[in-house]
Amino acid sequence: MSKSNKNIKYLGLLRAILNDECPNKVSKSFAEDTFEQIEKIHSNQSIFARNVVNYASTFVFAVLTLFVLSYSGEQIKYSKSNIDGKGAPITENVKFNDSNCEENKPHKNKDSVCK
Amino acid sequence: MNSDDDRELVQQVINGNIDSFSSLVQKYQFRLINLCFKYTKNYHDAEEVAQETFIRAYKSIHNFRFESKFYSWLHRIAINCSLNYINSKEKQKEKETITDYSGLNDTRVSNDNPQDYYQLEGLSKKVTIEYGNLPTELKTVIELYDIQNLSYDEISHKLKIPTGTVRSRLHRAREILINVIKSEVDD
Repeated sequence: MSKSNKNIKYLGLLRAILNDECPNKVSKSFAEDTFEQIEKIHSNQSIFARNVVNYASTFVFAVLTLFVLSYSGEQIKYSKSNIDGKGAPITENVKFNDSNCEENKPHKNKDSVCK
Repeated sequence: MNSDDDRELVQQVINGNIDSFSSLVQKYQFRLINLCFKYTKNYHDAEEVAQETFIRAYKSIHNFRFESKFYSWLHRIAINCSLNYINSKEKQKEKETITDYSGLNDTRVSNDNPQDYYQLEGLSKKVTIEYGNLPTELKTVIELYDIQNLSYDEISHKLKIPTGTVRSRLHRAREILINVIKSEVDD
């Protein structure tokens, strides 16, 4: 225990006695045990705070990255498409009029066709 | 640093200096254990409740508004902790009654080693005698400052002496009484 802490302890004890608030006995390790518990809480709080800072910084970095990407995306000038709007020619049903074709000749005998 | 100044210690704790809380524990442990003993009627439990009080105070020290004295704030927390202790004891007793073990648990044997404790009853008597033997001017100052909680300025005004004289008289009076404590409470 540091000298100043000892003096504070003596002063605390003196004031307790003068105010008639002194217990008959006190464990010698009471203050050390209590402070040990408080140190544990303090270190747990520090770990929690560190985690919070880590998550917060990750979130901020992500938001900044998104912002930068979306902002720079607007600056990109894409070239215009060279595909013209005509597309493929429209198809039509057409009649095939080739007189040489056997199918187009009139049938002499319907039965023969059926055969 | 002025050892009377709790505000400075509390501010340091709020700023993250955990060691300053150790000074507050050292300073108020005796009064707090005595207060808790009034409720628990048992020194072992009184220390447990006092420890709980300090832990709660540390956890919520950011809520301390500096409008009252630190000890008054600590005192209120200690009373709450003591009342919680009494409630939990009563619940425990109810359970014991239901399970019919009530008669057996009171035969608890204390394993406390007297060497592990400051025996303060005798010391208290010695200091009180020494206080009675102090010269009147020293006794008056220590009574006004440490018992009636007046400030240096208030004492100076009341006794019509300079503040510096109040400080030096208080220092001399405390030195005499703390020497008695040092001779008994040897770490």
